[in-house]
Amino acid sequence: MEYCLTVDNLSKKYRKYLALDGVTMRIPQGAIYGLVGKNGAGKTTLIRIICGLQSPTVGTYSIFGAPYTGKEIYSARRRMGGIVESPALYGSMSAKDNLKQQFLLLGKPSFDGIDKLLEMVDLKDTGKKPVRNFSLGMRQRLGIAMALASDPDFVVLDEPINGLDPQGIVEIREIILKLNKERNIAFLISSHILDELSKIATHYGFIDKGKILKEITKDQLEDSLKKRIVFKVDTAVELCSALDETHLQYKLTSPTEGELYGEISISALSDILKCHGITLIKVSEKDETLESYYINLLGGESNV
Amino acid sequence: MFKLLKANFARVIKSATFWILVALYALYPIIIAVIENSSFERITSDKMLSLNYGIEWFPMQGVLIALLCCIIFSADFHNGTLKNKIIIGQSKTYIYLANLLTMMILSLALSVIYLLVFFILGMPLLGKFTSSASTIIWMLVNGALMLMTYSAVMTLIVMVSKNSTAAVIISLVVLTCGALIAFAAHYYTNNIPPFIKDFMIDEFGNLMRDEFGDVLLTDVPNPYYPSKAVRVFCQFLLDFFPSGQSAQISNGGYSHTWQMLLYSLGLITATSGVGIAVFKKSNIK
Repeated sequence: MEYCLTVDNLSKKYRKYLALDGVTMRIPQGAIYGLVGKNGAGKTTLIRIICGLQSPTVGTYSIFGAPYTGKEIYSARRRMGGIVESPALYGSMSAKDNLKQQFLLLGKPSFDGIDKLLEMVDLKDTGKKPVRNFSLGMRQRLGIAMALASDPDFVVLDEPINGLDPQGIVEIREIILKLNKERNIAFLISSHILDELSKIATHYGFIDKGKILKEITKDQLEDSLKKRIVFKVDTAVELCSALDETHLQYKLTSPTEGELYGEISISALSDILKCHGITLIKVSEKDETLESYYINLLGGESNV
Repeated sequence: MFKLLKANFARVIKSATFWILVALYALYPIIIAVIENSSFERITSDKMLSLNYGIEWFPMQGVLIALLCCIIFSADFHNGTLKNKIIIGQSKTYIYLANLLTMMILSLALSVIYLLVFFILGMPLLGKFTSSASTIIWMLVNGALMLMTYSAVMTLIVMVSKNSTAAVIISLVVLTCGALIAFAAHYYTNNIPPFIKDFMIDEFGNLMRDEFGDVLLTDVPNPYYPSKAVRVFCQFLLDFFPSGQSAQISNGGYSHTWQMLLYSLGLITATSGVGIAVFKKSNIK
């Protein structure tokens, strides 16, 4: 498998504080890698190192096979784009002028393609409006356009939807999915908004206290997420006996309410309960979410 | 690095500060030439040329270069746009060198604007140079190197401080110190006479007078005249620091041309070396 990023045993120490502790991770080409972790877990430090803004204390990483200590890293980085912390833009310039700056830095022979990029991020009509007057969502979209100016194969986005309104979140999500599908661009996206991340990520890396706790693909994650049936019945009499007959794990949240873990058809459950004289009042199927998986991985809600 | 330079200059030509400075450097020789042309004791073309390296007040060159440097390059730190350069594979060494070259070219370009306007409009009004060709050439060479040294020092300050407010404050402190050193050194080497007049006193302790009854005066060594070691040190300060060089060139009649050239080259190399080493190790925020 071809990887756009490989990180091996990477650590970063700020005086006595260990921000990253032996991080090892792999991002395959074409993946949308969700880096999940709470604030201060080490997400941004890892991203800053990958983007060359900081050096690791120990360990190594490679971008498209080029180790960060070699000279090839500079040409490998030209296949990369990114937003670290917040979009880096000249506030006094227009969206177009900001993109022109990026094109010049990339050594592009002409400014062809700027209009297309602006159209893609829906900023074509901003004219000469200075970026400092843009909304947060507009700046975030322009940041993505800047990151895409180099026609990258790998884009790093640090908390791309932080502070955005629901419409802005949907727009960013659609842009990422479109680019991943149409151009096979790999993304590394850090976020603590797990619900949103779960809608786009194909791979996950869970980070806590500077350590990668687990790396998992979307399919593996779906397999490991437990199915749940939440129910309410009319009486508590013989309820436990009835639930034991399902041979599934269960938890009662009140005398007449509870959750069953595993797969069972609702009609089969209803039949078992009927045999014990219990009537099913309310029932719904639920999947374990990425959030609950993450909480379990961290060892309970007290950790979040 | 060519890409970085292109991007820098594309940003510079959109900067209002740059165009204000262009206007200042273009208008200044015109105003001086017109005023001097109508005055009774007008200045020579030589003096007019030397004013290019002082703009009326010798620390002014440093102030103008610091202003331009802070406005253009601090924006990269303030907006975080420096990150864009690094993420797409530009090395920190090249970023530093591109900024240094940009500043040097800009300061020289502004000086050339002054010279062009002076040659086209100033010289016809004030007449030909009175100094030798070699003196004029040395003034141009030393002046250009002085501007490049200021550019190197200001680039170091901005790139190492990584913060626009800190850069402005440090620049002002450095410029003030430089100006004070140059002022003090210039005063000690040029303004204190080796001899002063004193009354002549006979062997009885009386004032000596001539036949008209006027008190006779004689030259006596000035007790405040600095020793040779102090004068050499002061001259070194004047030759070494760009503020001292600016003071000397804008006043004309200086002689340590080679020393100034070597000190400038040394300062440019040293400040750039330190700047690149510090900037390479720094974390970009």
